[in-house]
Amino acid sequence: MVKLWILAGIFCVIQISVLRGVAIAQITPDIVLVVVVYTALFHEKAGMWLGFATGIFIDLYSSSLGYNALMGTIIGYGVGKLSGRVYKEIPLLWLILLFVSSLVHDVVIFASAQELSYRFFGRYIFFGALYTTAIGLIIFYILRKFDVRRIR
Amino acid sequence: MWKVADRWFFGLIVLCIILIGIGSTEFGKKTQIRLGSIFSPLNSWVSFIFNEFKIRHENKVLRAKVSELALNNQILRSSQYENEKLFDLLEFKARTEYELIASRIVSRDPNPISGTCLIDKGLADEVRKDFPVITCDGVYGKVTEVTRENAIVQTISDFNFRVACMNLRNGIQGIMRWEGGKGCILGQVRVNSDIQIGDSIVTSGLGSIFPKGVAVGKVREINVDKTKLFYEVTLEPTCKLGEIEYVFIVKKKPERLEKSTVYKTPGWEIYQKIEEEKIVQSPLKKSEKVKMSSIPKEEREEFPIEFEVKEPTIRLQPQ
Repeated sequence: MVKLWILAGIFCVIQISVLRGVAIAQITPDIVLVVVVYTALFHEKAGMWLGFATGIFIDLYSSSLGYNALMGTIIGYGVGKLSGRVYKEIPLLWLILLFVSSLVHDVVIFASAQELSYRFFGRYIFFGALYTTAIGLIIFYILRKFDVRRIR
Repeated sequence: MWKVADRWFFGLIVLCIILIGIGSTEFGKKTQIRLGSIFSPLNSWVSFIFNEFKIRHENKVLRAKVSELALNNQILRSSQYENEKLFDLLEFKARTEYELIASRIVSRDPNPISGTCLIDKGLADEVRKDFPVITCDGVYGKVTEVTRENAIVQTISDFNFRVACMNLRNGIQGIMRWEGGKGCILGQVRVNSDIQIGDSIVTSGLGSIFPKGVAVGKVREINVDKTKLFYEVTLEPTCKLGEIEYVFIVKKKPERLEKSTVYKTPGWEIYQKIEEEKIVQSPLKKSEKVKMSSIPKEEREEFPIEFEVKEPTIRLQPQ
């Protein structure tokens, strides 16, 4: 669990510093959200705390304070609640959770900063969610491999 | 278990809403910036590490690009130089009265004594032996050997090259030759002749190879030779020998060939150069083209034949 917190911290720093380098058409994946979703799915309640903590950190560098923390907490809590009711080892579930979480997160964050338009939604939010999902699946596989090895 | 978590969740949500509220105030924004600056060194450090890799890669790409651009630049410079040269040649060709064949120098003889070069025009382009070769600036040499596709040009820097010249200002005659270290020398100029430094020297037209009035050089130095009978005039050639890439072969016009008529058979006058080089058609053998020299002498004497050369038509009349 501690390792996940450290990893989340590293991802936070990467997210606010160098992730622009891998931007495709100004869209960057939200790797912090991926760790939050992963933690919530496989470690239930910890996801909510991690979501809040990482959200606070990201908020320090964003235009509006509190929104990332709020969304991190909600997503962490929501996914954590869901994790007890579903079979977690299905990649399709990961994919849906990542995509929906990213979509909801981005809609609220962007809406807090500016008025949403269809163009903006299509260009940044939808493709941003796709990008996060793609990168998130890779991170999920890697983290899962380490987690399973640790449990054994 | 979740009941506790639910309480914490609502607590966190309230906290977040409070934070949103504080964040919209001046105090909240200042606090946000101050707290953010605490982690700034960490961010800078991470950025530096990642940028290091990025910069290295960028440097590698840029180096390759610089090399490529440098090469392209060289090619463009070369094209520009060639373009300028060709432009000069075209301009010269337009204003000259001679019929010229433009040619490119293919190779130069590395032997310093032999100042010859190979050009890309030959018999197929109607280049013949002893045709003068000039450039926009003046005399360059003459054709000494011809093959179908190429020709060898003896340039003015060849030790055996001679050309009859005259002073453009007063017509004083001399013969130009090349003397290695001394450069271009105008010999056979009588002592006390009126010749001055800076005088322009041109071909005199004597010798029947070079047309009259083609620039050769300018007088640079005047000395008396060993015999004390002639001046040894050093010339600055107008043509920059080492820089030349394109030359013109002066195609001798028919009038000039007529002037150089030397060959005669009993009762007939034949132009030697044409006989040697042009393919003529005999009326006795209408279907085939034959060389003049291959026509039996008896046939030549019996009939007043009209020989037709490709260009121009020359009538052979009994004397």
